[in-house]
Parts: sequence; structure tokens; C-alpha cells
Amino acid sequence: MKNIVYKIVFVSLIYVVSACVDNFDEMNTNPNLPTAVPLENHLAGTIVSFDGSFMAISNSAITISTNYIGDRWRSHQPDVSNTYENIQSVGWGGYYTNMVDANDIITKATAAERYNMVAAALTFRAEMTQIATDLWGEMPYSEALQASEGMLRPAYDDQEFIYNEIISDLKTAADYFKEGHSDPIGSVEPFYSGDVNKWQKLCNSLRLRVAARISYVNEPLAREIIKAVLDNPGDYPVSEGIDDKAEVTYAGDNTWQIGFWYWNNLLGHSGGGTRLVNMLKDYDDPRLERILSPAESDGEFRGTSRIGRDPDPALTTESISYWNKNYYLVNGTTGPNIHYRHSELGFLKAEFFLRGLYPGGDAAAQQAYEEGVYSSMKELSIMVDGSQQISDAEISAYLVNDATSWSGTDEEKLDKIWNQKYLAMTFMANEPWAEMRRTDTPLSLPELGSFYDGHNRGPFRLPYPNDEALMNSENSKEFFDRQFEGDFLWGGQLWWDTRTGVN
Amino acid sequence: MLFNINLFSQSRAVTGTVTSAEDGSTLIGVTVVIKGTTSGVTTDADGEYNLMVTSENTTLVFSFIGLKTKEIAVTANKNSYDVILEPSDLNLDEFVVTAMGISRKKETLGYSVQDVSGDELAEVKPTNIVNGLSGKIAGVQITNATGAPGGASRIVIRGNGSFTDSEPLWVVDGTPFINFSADNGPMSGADFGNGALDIDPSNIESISVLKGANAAALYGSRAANGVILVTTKRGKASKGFGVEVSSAITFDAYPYLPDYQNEYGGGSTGSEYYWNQHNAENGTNLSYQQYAEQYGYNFVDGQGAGVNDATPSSWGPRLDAGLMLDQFTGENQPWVSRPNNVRDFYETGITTDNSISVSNAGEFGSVRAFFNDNNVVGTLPNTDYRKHTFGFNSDVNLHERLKLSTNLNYVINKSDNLPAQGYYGDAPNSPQTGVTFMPRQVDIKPLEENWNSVNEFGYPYNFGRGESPNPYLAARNTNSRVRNRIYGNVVLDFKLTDWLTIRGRAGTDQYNENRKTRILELTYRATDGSGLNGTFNDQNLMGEETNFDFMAMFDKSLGDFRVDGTMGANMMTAKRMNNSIFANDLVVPNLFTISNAKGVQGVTQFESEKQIHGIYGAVNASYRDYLYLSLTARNDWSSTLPANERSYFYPSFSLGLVFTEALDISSDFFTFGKIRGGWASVGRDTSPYSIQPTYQPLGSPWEGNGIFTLPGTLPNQLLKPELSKSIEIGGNFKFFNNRIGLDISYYNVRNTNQILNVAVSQASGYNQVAINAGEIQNTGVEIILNTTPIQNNDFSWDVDINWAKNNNSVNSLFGDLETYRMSSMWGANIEARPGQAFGTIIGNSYLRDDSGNIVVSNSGRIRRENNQELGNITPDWIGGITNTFRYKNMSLRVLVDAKMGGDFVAGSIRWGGSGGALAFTAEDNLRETGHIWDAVTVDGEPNTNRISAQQYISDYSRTVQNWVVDGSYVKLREVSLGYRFRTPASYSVRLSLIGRNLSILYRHKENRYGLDPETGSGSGIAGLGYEQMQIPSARNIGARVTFSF
Repeated sequence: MKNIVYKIVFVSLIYVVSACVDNFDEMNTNPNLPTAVPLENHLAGTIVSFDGSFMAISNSAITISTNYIGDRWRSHQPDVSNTYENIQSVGWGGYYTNMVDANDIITKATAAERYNMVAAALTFRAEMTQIATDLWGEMPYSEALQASEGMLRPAYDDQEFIYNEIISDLKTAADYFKEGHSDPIGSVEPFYSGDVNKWQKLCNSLRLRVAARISYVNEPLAREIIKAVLDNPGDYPVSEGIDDKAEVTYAGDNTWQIGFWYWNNLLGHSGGGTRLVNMLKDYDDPRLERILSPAESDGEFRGTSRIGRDPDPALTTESISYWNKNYYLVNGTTGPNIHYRHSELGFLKAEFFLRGLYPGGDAAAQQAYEEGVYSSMKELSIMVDGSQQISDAEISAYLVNDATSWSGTDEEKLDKIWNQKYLAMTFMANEPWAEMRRTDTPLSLPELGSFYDGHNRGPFRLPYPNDEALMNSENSKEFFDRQFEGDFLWGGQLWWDTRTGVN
Repeated sequence: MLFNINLFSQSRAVTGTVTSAEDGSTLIGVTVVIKGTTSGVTTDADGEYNLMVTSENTTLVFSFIGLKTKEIAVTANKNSYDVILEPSDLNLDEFVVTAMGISRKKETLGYSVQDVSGDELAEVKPTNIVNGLSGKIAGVQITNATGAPGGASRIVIRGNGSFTDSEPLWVVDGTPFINFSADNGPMSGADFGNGALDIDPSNIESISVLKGANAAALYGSRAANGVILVTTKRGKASKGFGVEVSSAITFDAYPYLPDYQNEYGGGSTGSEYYWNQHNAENGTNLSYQQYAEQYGYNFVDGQGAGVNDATPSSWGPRLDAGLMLDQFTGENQPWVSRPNNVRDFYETGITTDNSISVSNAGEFGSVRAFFNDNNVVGTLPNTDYRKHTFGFNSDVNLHERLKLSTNLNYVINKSDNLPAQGYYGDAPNSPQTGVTFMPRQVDIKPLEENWNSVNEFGYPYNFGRGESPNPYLAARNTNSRVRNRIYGNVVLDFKLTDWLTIRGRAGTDQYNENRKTRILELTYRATDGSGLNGTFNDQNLMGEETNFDFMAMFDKSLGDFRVDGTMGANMMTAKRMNNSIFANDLVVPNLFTISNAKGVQGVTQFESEKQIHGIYGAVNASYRDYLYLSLTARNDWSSTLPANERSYFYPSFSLGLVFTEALDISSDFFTFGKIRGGWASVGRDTSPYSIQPTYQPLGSPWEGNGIFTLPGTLPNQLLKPELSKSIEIGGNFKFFNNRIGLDISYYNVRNTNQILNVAVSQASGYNQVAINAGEIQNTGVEIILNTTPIQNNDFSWDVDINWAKNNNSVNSLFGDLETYRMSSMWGANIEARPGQAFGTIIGNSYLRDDSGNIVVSNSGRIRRENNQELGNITPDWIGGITNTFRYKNMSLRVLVDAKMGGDFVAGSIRWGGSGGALAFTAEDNLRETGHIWDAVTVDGEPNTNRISAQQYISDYSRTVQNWVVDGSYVKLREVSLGYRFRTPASYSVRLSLIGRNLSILYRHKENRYGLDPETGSGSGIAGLGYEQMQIPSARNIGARVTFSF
């Protein structure tokens, strides 16, 4: 009897322990999430994810500096000291995780010899990196993204190095596109539903954007890029019309409400900024009433501002201009986040010609400038209620006004290019803010009354996220120190920011 | 029964009844002896005795096993003496339930185990059983999260040993029980409680707390944080047929609220300071009335059309100064203070608790059935918590060698609304967010009466447009819950020989829970004008854990040696499922069904499964009655770890020596002495799917396609099991014939290889990386002192003290990682940093120059410095003292418990400060005179800028440094005053007046805001140490009557 019992005990133990662990690998395979996904769906996820963090901008450092967006609430007025206080760099981590995504796509697409997919991912990687480094300046790049190799505290690279990487990514992508591969990018991606040719044009257009940005700090390289692109329209085609825009349009049906429009307009949280409203009014610009609605109280267009502000108790929620909802409610959506508009190309080329960065001279510059204005008028007058786009006649009339016509000294012409570019980039955030810091036109002003007093320009860059001080303290120390020396948001001009006399 | 009677003429009969102090039952077989003789009797079936005494100076001695011996002096004029015998707390034969449900003498253990009797828990019964342990066990820290009905409480033994989950394993009648935690972060939300809520305190015989790894090692992986062993009441105690009925009603009232100011109402720039400044700067001569209505506050639509009427905080004009202003209640209303407007929002909570149990015991074995109805009406309007518990257990002797035991519990846990709390932005279902810091002039009554109506502008009736709607509307946006849970086991014992028993046990714990969150359409007109027609989320949760054990138990004596032990195998399977459907907008307003969803019908799915297989063995050997040795060993195989790390082995041993026995030095003064020591290790696995990389869907499908990104957490294919190693030494000492008992323990626990998702520099490509982290060490001392200062015929006084001090140290993290952040709120982080105790509070502080002066901007506003160490949440010590007085049939028990040291982050200072609601924002005429920071400017000049109170408090309340408050407290935790009626011996009736949380007897002087320092959100680690708009706890008082026969 005893022996039998011992045997039962023994056999049972062996059974329980050994026989059943065979299925452990299967049991510990996650049934909820995929271990592999199609590259098309991953690319789309990467673009939408980055777009949500960076293009649906709610960052007050940027909105205050660019002043496209006003301030609705009177109740903020008595105490503006904390205006810049809650500015946080929430996007920082989003940039890096989306970079991991882009690298994953590039690795897998390369292995599968899907070079159009590689090129699209490289193009987007470059766009992401340019946006990020234009916000923060020096960042970890060469040692970044290597957590899986145990690199948890990557060193920082200077911005010139990062820009060279951007330039190289775009060049590599442009050359892949040039080769004319047939693999699909996939219809899921939100820019062009997989139109390879449009991706190719975006890639080369972004090369010109990059060239303009570095043109004051590394003119030879800027010339080289511009020449490579504009000399070879067959190999390196650029944006050809307003349909070549790169936008992410959200469904707006409560599943996808992210978007510049949603936060700033649909909820009525904010109205038009003073500078935007005043520029459009001063220029007698037909875009004014396409973009903005008149104040409820008296039908006037009136912007609000947090910069240079003298609190105006007369302003109420009824006496300011909100956005024209007919403009952005396109197809029942909450409006697009804009990555690229064709009008930008006109203004880039106009600057290149005017500054002699590419041969063509004043006549070519004028043509490019007028193309830019024309495209912008069309881009900003697509209305949901079917009302007429701004007519060619209106545009022609606009281009002979003193304030907006191609006239004056070269310097005045540059100012006109840049002011028009500012208007054309309405509803964008990162790119106009970067251009305002490069060109000083229009001026980016600081807020008065902030406890960061004594500045004559708006912030120079975004602060580093506090986590970098906590978790990467040695590498980031130098940059944090400089950030705080410069009053938090004024911690040094970026590498390509050659403005003088600014603080 | 009489022996040895002398029939002297002076002899007389002395009679009486002997009853038990524990339950009032009459005691049969109590020995009654005349002191100094062998003459005596035993009590009869009715507990009565009848004894002839002869001399005048006779003393009777009453003794009974398990009860304290009592002496009664017989006086000349009295012939009847009823005697109540107390349970003998210090009895040498005290048994406790230890690992695997084995009952052992405390004296034989080489480690510390402490228990609480079920009666003690049941009398002053908390809704959450965890709260019933507060102050009663040395080294156990309870965090009673909030006053929400059915809210979660957290229990930690011997300090936080883990960065992620420090709570002990719960075992009910031998089978593990899921005490899932409400892992609410500091921003909180609805508190759905912790799993132990499903254990009804009335149904408990005892709770043993196995504190250290030595005691717990047999339970395997999850026992590293200790074990709470719950033994439910069984039928065998009843000796035949028995019934017990117990009913209580208690009231929750007088919530612990912060101190409010009552001098200034809603608005902005409304104080005299601004008024004077305005007139001076503009050369005007506005009266205060004129200034107030033009610049301070005037209501139009509550949306910004008036003066500061959208988001009014209490920075408006002075109250009770004769002003007349337009308010949400009408135009030109008197501007007066309403000191009780917040307090009036809370209603008196009512808890009714009714239990009935029937049992029978006999030759066949025993059975017991139990039912409890626990019904709580919360202190917030429209909140409740109801729980029905059905319990059944039996021990049936199938054969003289075969015994079948069953334990079955069925619990229905139901609430129509568990309110959200904490501050998390738009909080449509958190009345607490709307009411806590509302403007001081707001009249709460009209809000209640008009919660369902809109004003002339179409906006919901409210005092403004706050973060949260009208609190009475928020209370109608419900979080309901229904949970059905079954747990229990079936045990078959086969007694093979006298010394060997084979046991098979199958146990399960499973629950299905449905949670519904519904937000009414009206809400969206209130908070953001988004025009939504309502939203809902229906969540179905399933949890299941099954355990199969097969074990052999032996017990054999050989001369002076005795050996007993257990060998067994366990297979544990845990499954979880979490599915939800939701709609972010509706077609037909307020019809909360998925087919009514506007836009995409939202769906989420999650399921997980894991298994642990273990084999274990334990041997306890003793020599005579003084030397005890225990050895345990266990090997686990967990499905969650990489294949080559899946198996892990961990042993333990302990030794106890009763030196008073060994050296034969026991005396009346030094009755008993034992020293003990042990070493143990426990391994531990991780959660499922931690090692495999996956993609994750990004939100809802994008134009019909699933789109994906890589997750922010990098999984780790090289994870090792966690390992906890501990040593424990201690001693038990008893003096004056057990009138004083002292138990001292010292422990040192090192937890290594903790599996963590640790936040890293995001530039590494990931927000978090799964790692085996370094080492956390807890060392501590626990002292348990039980004394009986007074004990005589009618009166006794017992004092029981528990005291524990735990030193926690994060010895190392991982590689060059600098910190592990556990949670974060508004820039106040709670972190683990190498070289410091767990729970360092990190945040900004005033910027100071090299001489230590505060630095302000040139306009006199505060500057700050980030990432400063501001405090630590770990307490210095915790303890409790219970005084029990018994006088005849009456007893009074008073429990006071304390936590000393340990900071918390008070979000109330942030929001009650910047909102101008709390008393400190209006003290010392601040709002008339303003404030000048005692500081230097950034240019190095002495600061002379005078700023308004509104600016000063804004500077103050936005500085994290000022939110860190010493959380020390002493609380009057429990009081019960009981009276047992004189009844015939066949039944008993006991009536008690009971109270819980009656008073905060002490708060640290830093806590000048009136905050309840015992606070947290949920029972997980994420909400630990944060106070912020939680539902306040209240004083609980009531009565209980217990009837049994």
C-alpha cells in the first residue's frame, strides 16, 4: 500500500512539472498584438503618429511666437507670468519612437528589396528629423535609437551633423525614386495614398526646404543641393501644383479628432491672432474672410494676442474673430494637418533667384513669387460651402498693390517673399516658426509681462524635456545649462539661426 | 459532581454561571476549585456550578483550557458569583494558521506570524477588510485610499519591497485569492476597489499575516511580499445546531475637508488690493461696488461673456461687504459667503450590514452556511455600494480515513455609481472635481435643484464653466459595476497511516465584472460645447485563477524527536480578459447602446494567460519542546519567463530555541523565552508577454485599415526571475506569568533582479525598457507588546501595542540608470533613486542664489529650479495601540494608530491655492496688502516689488516644494463599546456601539491646510503619496447587535 502511494506521489509530481511546461512558449505568445505587420500599414501608422504629436500643435511657445492663433480668454489677463511655464517637450519621445518605426520599415523594406518603400520612409524620416532639430537644436542622433543594444544614455550631436544626415537621407531617397522601382508604397498612407510620383516630388521639394534653411550658414552646400535638384527636373521632379500638397486629413468622427483644426478652431478655444488678422487687413487680402469670420458683435475682423499685449478689457468673446468654419470643414472632416503646400516652392525659388543662389535673376524671382501667391490664394480658398475660390482677377489685382507687388529694393522684395510665405503657411506651425527664426520676417515677438522679461524676440527653441535631465543627465547637462542661462526658452540660437542683435 | 465535602455547620452553597467573554456562551466543564485545596466541581451543561464552602476567607479558582484562569474571593454576604472567563491571549498553547493552512503552535515557529481574530474584524466592520487590519499587525501599513464607497485600500508588509507590486498574496482557506488592485494614478478616475472587498469580514474566523519570506516561501512566487491567510468560520465550532444573526447600521458623516477661506468669492482681481491699484493707476474713483462688477466678477452666461464668469476661482471681490453682483442664481444678488457650501454637498452615508449563519456539527462532520448583505449609501449624492455574500463550507467524514472539505463563496458586488475623483482635466463624472474648490460664494442648493436644466443661453445650469460640470450633474454621469465572483475549493484528505495523510485540493477564484461609464448629453453642452449626444464605455472584465495541489503530509515522533512536513506540487493557471465597447458620440441622445454610436463603434480586446508549476517540500523537526528547525524548498516553472530562465529554485530555513525550557530557567517573573532566526529566498516571475516584441495598433482603424507603430516599451528577451532574500531574527519573551508578552523581530530583505519597465532617455528610441533592476533593501524592527495591567474579578484592562520601523533603501538600479520614476503629477515625481529610500519626491523649488536667498524676476515673481529632492513618502515608523477594558458584561475597545514621518504630495495646495479657495490664500490681510517676496531679483538687487495675493499664491502654489507635506498622523481608528445581555444560557445577545475613523488626533504642523494625511489614489503604486481631490473619508459611527443560539 505505502509503495503504491509513494509511486503515485512521485509520478504525479513528475507529470505536473515536466509534461506541462512544453506549451509555455505558445502560452506566452501575445494573442492581442501582432509580431509582424505589413510595411504599408506600419508606414501609415508612423506618419499618423508623428503627425498627431507634432502637427496638431498646441504648443504655446510656438503659437505665441507665430501668432497665427489668438487668445480667447480674458480671464488669463491679470497674470501672464506663467505663459511660458508649462511649455513641455512632449513630442520629444514621439519623435524618437517614430524614428524607431521608420528605421524598422527601412530595414525590412531593404531586405524585401522594396526601394520605393525605403525611399518613402527615408523621406519621412528626414522630415521628422528636420522638424525635431528645428525645435530643439542639438539632440542625440548618432547614438540614439539603440536601446536594444543597451545604449540608454545617448550623447548629443550638434545640429550641423544632424542636418547632414537629413540631407543625406533625402538624397538617398531621391536617388531610389529616380531609379524607377515598381514596388507599391500602399494606399493606406495618408499623404498620397501610395502615389510614388507624388512622394518623389515631396522628397525633392523637401530638399529645397532644407537648402533654404542652411543657406545663411552653409551657402555652398545650399547651392549644391539647389543646383542638383533644379538642374535635373527629370531625375528630381519637384511639386507641380496645389494637388501635390502633403496633408493628413482626420476623419473628425470622434475616432480621429486630432488636428490643428480640432484643437484650435472647432472647439472655439481660440480665434485669429493679431498679426495674421492685421497683415491680411493691411494687404486688403482676399484670404481674410476665407480664413476668418468677423466678430459677432460688430462684424469687424479683430485678432487677439498674447505677445506685446496691453490687456484690453474691451475685448470680449463676442468682439474677436474666430476661424471661418466653412474653410476647414472640408468633406465633413476636422481639417488637415499640413506638411507641405505647393505655394512654399514658389517662395523658396523666389528667394533662391533673388539671392543668386541659383541663376535666373529678378525676372525668374518675380515669376516664382507670383506663382507662390497664386498657389496660396487657391490653397486657402477651398470652401466647404462651395463658395467661389479666389478668382484669378482678384489675385492679379492683389499683385499690383504696393504692399504685395514685386517692387522695391531686393531687401524689400525678400521681406515680401517672407511675409507672403508667412501668410501661405497659415495653419502650419513648425515650418513658419523656423522660417521666422531664420529670416526675422515677420518678427517673432516675446510676450510682455512674462517673468522672462527683457527679450526682444520670441523663444529661440523649445526646452529639452525634463526627463533628459533626470535620465540622461551627463550628456544633456551642457545643453540644459545653456537653456537655463538663456532664460529657459532663449537658450541659444540654433545653428542655422544667424540673426544678430536678438535676445 | 462533588468531591470531598466537609459538612460543617458554617458551610454554605455558592452558585453561579460561567460564561465566555468571547461570545457570551455558557461554558461547560469549567473547573472550580477552592484555592489551596483539591476541593472543587466542574460546571454543568448550563454552565452552572454549585459548591459548598466553609471558611469566610475562601477564594475560588476558575480554570478552563484556552481561557485565562480567574480567582474570585467569596465574601460573607454573597452566595452567587457569575464569572466571565477571558480568552487567554498569552496562552502557551496558542495556535496560528501557517503556510498551507497548517495550524501550529506559535512557540514552534522560527519566524514571526501575527493574527487577528474574526470577531475583532466583524464588530467594527469596515467595508473593506483591508482597513480592518490597520494598526493591528506590526509592520503592516494600510493606506485607506479615499472615502469612496467600496474604495480601494492598499496593504504592504514590511515596507515596499517592489517598484511595481508590493502587496502580499491573499489566500482564503488554502487557495490563492486575487486581490487585484485599483491601479489609479494620481489623476485618478473612478475607484473600482481592490479584490479583497469580496471577502466579508463577518465570515472570518481569523486572519494570519505571514510577514516574511520564511513564513511564506511555500506559496511560491507571489509570496515574496508576505501572505495574508484568511480562514473562514466553520461549522464545527457550533457543537450541534447553531444560528447567529448580526445586524449593524452605521453612519458616515463629517468628512475630513481642508480649511477654506470665507472672505473672498469667485472671480479674478476682485480684492481691495486690485481695487486700490486700479483707482491709483487710472486716476479713477470707482467705488468698490463699481470696481467689483466691472473688473472682479459679474455673471452673464458662465462662458466668458461676463466678467470672469467662465472659470471663476475665488479671487473675486470680498464677501459679506454689502456688494450686490450678478450671479448664476440671478441678477443683483447679495455677495455673501457660504462657509458650508462644500460640506453641504456631502450627505450622510448610511451602511447597513446584516448577516445570518446556520451551522451544524456532529459525527458526520460539520456544515455552515452564511449570508451577508452589506449596503452602503455613499456620502456623495447618487453613489452606492452593495455586496451580497453567500458562503458555504463543510467538513464531511466520508470514511474514518477520508475527509472531504468544501469551501464555497459567491459574491455579488454591485454599484450604480462609483464616482470618479481626483483631478484629471475634463472630469465629467467627478462631482469631487467640481465641488472641492468651487468659489466660496456658490450656493449649492440651486445647483442641486437645477442640475438637469439649462440657462437662457442654452448652457447647463452652473456657476461657471469649470473643469467639471455642475457637481450634481457629474453625479448623474455614472460609473456602475456588477461583479459576480465565485471562489473556494474542494479538499480531499486521505489518512494513509497515523502519520501520513495525502491531500488533493482543487481551488478556483473567478469573477466576471461589467463596468459601465455613461456621460449624459447635457454634460457636453457644459464643458466644451462640442455638441456630443453623450458617450459611454462598457467594459467586461474576467479574471480566473485555478490552483491544483497535490500533497503528502506526515507527522512522526521518535523519542524526543518529532518530525512533520509536507511535500507537494502545485499548478496555477491565471487568465484575464478585458473587452470593452464604447461610443465617443451618440445618434439619439442618452441612449447608451452600441448600435446608437455615432461614427465608429469602439471596441477593445485583451486577454492573457499564464501558468506556474511548482513542487515544494517542508520539514519541521523538533527536539523535546524547545528546539525547532524548519526547512522549506520550492522550485517553480513560469510560462512568462524566457525558456532558459523559466525554472527557479529557492530554499529557506529557520530555527527556534525556547531557552527557558532548554535551560529550565522558567520562573513566575520570566515565564517564557524563545529566540529564533531564519534565512529565506523567494523567486518571482513577471507578467505575461513581457519578453516578446510586438506592434501595436494606433487608435482606431484609419479609413478602414489598422495602422501600427512599435510600442514605447522595449521588451527584453533576457529577463531573469526576480529574487528576494531575507534574514529574520527575533525573540518572544513572557513575564509575570504571561501578563506581559513581548515579541521582537528584526529583518533584512533584499530584492534583486526586479523586473521593471523603467523609463529611460527617450532618445534611446523607447520610453521604457524592460529590465532586471538592481536591488531594494528593507531592514526593520517590529515590536509586539501584549500586557494585562489589571485583571481582577470584574475588571480587566489589556494593552496591545504594535510598532514597526522600516528602513528602505534602493541600493542600485540598472547600469547607469539614475532614477526609476514610479509616478508623476503636475511635475511632482515619485521616484526610486539609488542610495535613497523608495519614494523620493522630486519637483521644482524656489531658485536660490549662492547665499541661499530666494531669487525673483525683476518684476518680483518667483523663479524656480527643477528636479530638486523635496521629500520622501516612506514613513519613519507605524504603530497601533489597542486598549481593551472589560467590566462585567461590558467591554470597551479603543484602537489608536499612527504613522510618523513620510511626506505626501498635496495637490490641494496646487489647486486650492491657485483657485483661492483654501484658508491660507486669504490669511493676514494678504488680499488687501499684497506681498513682497523676501528675495533678491535676478539682477541681484533686494526685491521691492509688491505683488497681489493672487500673484503671490500663484507663485507659491505652482512651486512643487510647497506641496510636499509631512504626512504624520495619529488617528482614533476604532472604538467599540459592547454589552452582553444577561440571557438564559441557550442563547446570547450582544449590543455594541461602534465607530471608525473618529478623529485625527495629531497632524504635523506642516499640514496647516486641514488635509487628511492618510491618502492615496487606488491601491496600486501609481497613486501612492498623492493627495488631490479624492473623495474625503468621513467619521463612521453606529451600532451592531449580535444574536446567537
